[in-house]
Amino acid sequence: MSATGVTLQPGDVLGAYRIDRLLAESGLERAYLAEADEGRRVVVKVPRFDTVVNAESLRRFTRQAQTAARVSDARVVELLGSGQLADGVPYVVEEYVGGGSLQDLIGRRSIEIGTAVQVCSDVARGLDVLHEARIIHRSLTPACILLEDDLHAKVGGFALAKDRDASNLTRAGHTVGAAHYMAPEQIRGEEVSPATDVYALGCVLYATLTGQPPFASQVGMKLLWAHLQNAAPDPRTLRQEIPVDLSWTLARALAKDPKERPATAGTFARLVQISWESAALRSRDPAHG
Amino acid sequence: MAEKARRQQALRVSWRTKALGLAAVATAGSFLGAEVRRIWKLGSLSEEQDGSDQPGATRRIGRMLRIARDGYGVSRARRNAVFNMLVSFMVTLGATRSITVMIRNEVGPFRNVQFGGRHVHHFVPGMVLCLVCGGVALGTRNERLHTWLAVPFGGGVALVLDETALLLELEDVYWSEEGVVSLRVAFTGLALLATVGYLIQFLREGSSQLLESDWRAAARAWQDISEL
Repeated sequence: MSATGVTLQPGDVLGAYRIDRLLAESGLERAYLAEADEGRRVVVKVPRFDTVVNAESLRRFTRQAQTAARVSDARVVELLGSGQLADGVPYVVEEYVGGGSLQDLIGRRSIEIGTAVQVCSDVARGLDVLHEARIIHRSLTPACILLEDDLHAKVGGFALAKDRDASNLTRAGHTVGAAHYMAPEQIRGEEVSPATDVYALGCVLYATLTGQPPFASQVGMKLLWAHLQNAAPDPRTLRQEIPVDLSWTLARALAKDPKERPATAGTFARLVQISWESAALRSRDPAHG
Repeated sequence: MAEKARRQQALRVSWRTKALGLAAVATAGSFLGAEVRRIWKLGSLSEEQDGSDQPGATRRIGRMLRIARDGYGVSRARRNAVFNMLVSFMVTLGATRSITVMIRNEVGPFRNVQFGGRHVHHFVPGMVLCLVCGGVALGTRNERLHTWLAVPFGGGVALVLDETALLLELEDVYWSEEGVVSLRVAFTGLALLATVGYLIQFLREGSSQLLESDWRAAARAWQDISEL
């Protein structure tokens, strides 16, 4: 283990996995591309030094493996295994999703509305599976949505996920999450629910459609304040081709009161789908308008 | 000599009036001080969180203005309204008294306002301001608008109360012994307004109250996220 954490080199072997290269780094962990014995490509995650020495961070790192292990669905990143390095530092092995993250795609180009709607449906399905397992994601962002080559999406990044039946890693009233995608009740330190993830999914769809999250111009605590008090700017001001119905549906997901949002992520995705399809129908046959 | 003596006599006020004035200014001053501290504290939350403190006089002034704007902006509308009204009341009362003294001593550019050969006393524009602002406030439900209407309304109230003696006696007794009643009433009004300001913080105000608590929640949450 180096001073900055567990550093693996190309060619290093962890059980059945041979390390290929570093894929990504976050504050919590490093993700490496590796190859399994049977030739399958996988992602090996190891904690950073700060994570190893911080008991809460280390628990978060291991909690994500436990969370992923509880769900199995095509729209959730699959956990393939976990173990410990020689010095007792844990690692987890996940499936490799080859198309990069939604964040990368948003950064690269403008995404077709139909594709955005499809990604939203996929992520909603993954979230519904998590919610049925009584898990709240709490930190859904485009960075933790991974894309397959055909642009179907999978939900990953469970470091801040909350198991509604398990003990809290977070002290009462303490806020965790991703600032640009954080629901008002999460900012207030109130109880989170599936509606919290619906809000985040709304922000993700907003970013997918417009290239930026709802309150992109705000920084620091004023960003969180905007989530609490300001209505999100109409996405049509940033991209005129977004149908009005879709804009309204998006506004429903971004309601400040969790009770005013669609009841489940799946419901929201269906509303998005209907808004998009009816707009597409109207554009093909104006008589339907 | 006789005229000068008359003027000095007219300006003399009893120790009771002075004590009342002192008490009113102390009450209003302590309220305004507490409000400014509260506004500053609220505004500073965003400054501390954003870490945008820079050296230099211009930047310091800019920072102070940002803090004041942020703190005032997230304060409850009703508190801001009382704050505005009180400041406006005090400034108008002080300015009116100063101007009337200057007019009486023929110092400076100010003169009595005459309309059709008739002296227009300052309670007249005061009443007009109160009528217009009060009417608009009653006819609207916009809390932000009420906050700003409090400024001319406070000024109007000060102009009217400053001529209470005239309205009671139906005679221009502004500089006579009876005229001191106006000062007493104005001081009492000032003290009452400050007391209302103290009491209003105990009223629950729905969404307006949420504004201030949300601001604190955002500051706390940002600190939590930054530590993560």
